[in-house]
Amino acid sequence: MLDTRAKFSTALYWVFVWGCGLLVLAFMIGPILLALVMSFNSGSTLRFPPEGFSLRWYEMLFDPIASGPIHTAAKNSIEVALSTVALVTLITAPAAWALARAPKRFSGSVEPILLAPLVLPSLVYALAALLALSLLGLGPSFIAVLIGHAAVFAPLMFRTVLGLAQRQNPALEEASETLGASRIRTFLRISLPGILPGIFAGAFLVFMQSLDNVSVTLFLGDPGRTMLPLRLFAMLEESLDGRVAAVSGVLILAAAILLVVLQRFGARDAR
Amino acid sequence: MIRKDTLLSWPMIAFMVLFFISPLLLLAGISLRGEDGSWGLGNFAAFLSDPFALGVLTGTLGLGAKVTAFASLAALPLVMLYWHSGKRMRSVILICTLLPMLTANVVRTFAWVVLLGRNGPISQTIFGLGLSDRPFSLLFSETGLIIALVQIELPLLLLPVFAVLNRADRKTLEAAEVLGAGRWRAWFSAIFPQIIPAVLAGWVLVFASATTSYVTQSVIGGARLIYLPQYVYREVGVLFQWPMAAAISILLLASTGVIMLCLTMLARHERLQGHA
Amino acid sequence: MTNMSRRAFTLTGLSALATPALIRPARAQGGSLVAATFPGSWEDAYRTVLTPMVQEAGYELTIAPSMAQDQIARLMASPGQPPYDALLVSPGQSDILVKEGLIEEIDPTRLKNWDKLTPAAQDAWGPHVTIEVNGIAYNPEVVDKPSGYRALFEDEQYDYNLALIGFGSNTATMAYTEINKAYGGTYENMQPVFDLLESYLPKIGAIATSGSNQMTMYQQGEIAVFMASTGNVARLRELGMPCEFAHPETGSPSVPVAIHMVKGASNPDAVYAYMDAAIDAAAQVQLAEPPTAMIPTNTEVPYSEVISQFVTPEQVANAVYPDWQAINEHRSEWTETFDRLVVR
Repeated sequence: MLDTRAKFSTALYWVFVWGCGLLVLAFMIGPILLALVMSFNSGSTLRFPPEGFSLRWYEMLFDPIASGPIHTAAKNSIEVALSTVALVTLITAPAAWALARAPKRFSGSVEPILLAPLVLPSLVYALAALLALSLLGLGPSFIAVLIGHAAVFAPLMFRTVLGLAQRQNPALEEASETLGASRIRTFLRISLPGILPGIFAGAFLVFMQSLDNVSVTLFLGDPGRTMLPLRLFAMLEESLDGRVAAVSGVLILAAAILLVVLQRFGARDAR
Repeated sequence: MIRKDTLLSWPMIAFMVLFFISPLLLLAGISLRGEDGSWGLGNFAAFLSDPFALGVLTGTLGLGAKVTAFASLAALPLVMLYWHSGKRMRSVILICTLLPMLTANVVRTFAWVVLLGRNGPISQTIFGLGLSDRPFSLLFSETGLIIALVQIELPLLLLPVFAVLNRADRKTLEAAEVLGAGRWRAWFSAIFPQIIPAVLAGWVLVFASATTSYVTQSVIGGARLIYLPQYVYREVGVLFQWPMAAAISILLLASTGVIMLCLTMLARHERLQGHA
Repeated sequence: MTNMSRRAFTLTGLSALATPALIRPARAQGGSLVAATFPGSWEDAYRTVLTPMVQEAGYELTIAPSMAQDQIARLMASPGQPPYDALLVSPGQSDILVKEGLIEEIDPTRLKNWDKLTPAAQDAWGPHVTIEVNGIAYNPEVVDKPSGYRALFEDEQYDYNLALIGFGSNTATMAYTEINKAYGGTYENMQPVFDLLESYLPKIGAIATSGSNQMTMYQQGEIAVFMASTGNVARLRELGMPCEFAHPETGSPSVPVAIHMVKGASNPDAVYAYMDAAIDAAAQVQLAEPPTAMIPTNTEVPYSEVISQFVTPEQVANAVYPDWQAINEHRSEWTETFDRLVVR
């Protein structure tokens, strides 16, 4: 009697773990697969269900005449995203490395400031930054977006680098230095390789977030330079243009490829 | 004054103070400015004494709470599955978790517009099964918004927990099972306590993100559901009331801040207990 | 019609080819200007049609997409550093701009095409580039042609099919003031329309977030009727949707769209060149074709085939022009009332 109840409970456990677990997994990626399916829709607008298979939206998306403004917007956004990654790497990686070695009291009191943007709404920040700009007599510009994105997304890289830096063994560096290696050489040969995967992972996150951000871009962006997320939302809102789905397809593919590459890279490094 | 070993961290600290903290302080300052140019807490008083505005505030916090709750429910079986999975399955789950987080906002929003619509698969399935007498739309409803937000924010909760599970020792669970505890009991007594700090950290992120996701709230929620971010945007974009917008932003910051502080303190407390 | 639109497409296609805007244009000798336009099809059309014309005049034109309200918000946020040189707005916003001292009166002698404009389009604050005629867009496969505003609220076939939006939109605001009149109200007393809305809300198809959001809903099949301009209907047809335009029984509320010069514009000469291009017959002929189908204000430009399907010049001349001063006086209060009414 007791035994059958235990068996039943165990069976229920596995049904819950596998059944519900896979269901949740499907729930998470379902919408993304749907966006992919819709991008191959042959209908003239994005109604559900899709009417048939075609590559017309991809053709239209890559057509330099019909989709020129989208290409320009994508170029502008990638420029901002790459510059943001560069700026963030420059200030964040050394900081995370140093704080992993700094006294606990110091790092403990500074970290909240450096991580705050993670939990503060970027809309509020964008508003505040625009007010600050106008107080300085400056207008929205490329530099303003760049600084805005860097301030909001720097914590993403800070976290990934800090995690690795804390796991590094300072004894290795000390050993290297006592063996006569210079500080710079020690950093390049011992410290940097250790935190490099964190820098790459952080750069990836910062890049994707910068490419996707709406509020900071909307408030701080040079109005003459269309940015990709703003352009896409205008398309989505106004016309349910099939190219929105095609752009989705391209973005999903890019994210997936980068993710797999990163996984490989991370895995090789762990070995 | 500056210690040598912290030298490399100062550029970033300076950058964040200058470009992140000071604009927010400025915002706080402007929120104290009244319509007639006087200074004081007038904007806050006006907001808090208006039942409609107060409703928007509680509605926003409520939305955050509901999304956090449902995301936790959805996360549980997947976290358990992750724990039991081998290396290969774990990396599949990890990629499936990262992918929604890394797909663009417009992709997710677009997909949910299609999924939740009157002609979308959800409505058509339920109508087809005869569970509803006419096709219905979950767009522009709180139910639809919560479903979409749970999908969008779930990775924020899962990733910190996965990180803990990667480091956790499988033997603890086996030991509990050997001692005769049932599967359920073993999991909840041996593994669950270890992930609680990560769950609380995840809650902070989910809550903060759900309450402030302006784009999803307005595209999926529509005009009949107003949350604080839209309210702020309307003050600026339609009514041109900057000080009021600043005051509402500060309230948004303060209310989410208090909740996050509580959760963080709880996390510290739990961790201490775990060590004891 | 297909023939016409194909020709228009090749035309705009060709002019796009001629536009070096895709690669960064070399600085034109006369300097540059930033002009705000509505995002979407307006933006694309202005970029492809006007950029080369302005370039020919010796100036580099940058089109900055932004909704009318956002244009003002940004201008107000950066006093002394206007992010735009020229704006594109309707009278609802023009009044605010004049009152806030954000725009300048223009000198008509600087515009070659000024005398070709219809008298109504010769505005001291800047030329009108088109007139939007508003009415009701409906899907003929789902509902019958509505006889007017009253029918939408009183005939059962429109229940659960009608979309409405808030007072942030000019089209919606004009529709509400007209509906209000039909139900016995005045600008001073909007209670009739709010009472009507309150009792109608349970049967509403959707309250959309913006005018363009309604277009998305329409394409998705979420709704079948909404307050729209002829341009919206032309756009939906261009996308292959069945869509018709109905004139309200009380007349079609119309609203001109004007280009304004921002006070402190960095390069007034460039702004004049841009204005002149926008009211030039060659430009308006192209803009009158789908997908924009803008009603011309230049008297030398005939109504295109698409436009003629919706309106005649007589109808435009007899259209209803709302009192924007009265509207602006109450607009923020109406916005509040509406938002509070519809929030669940």
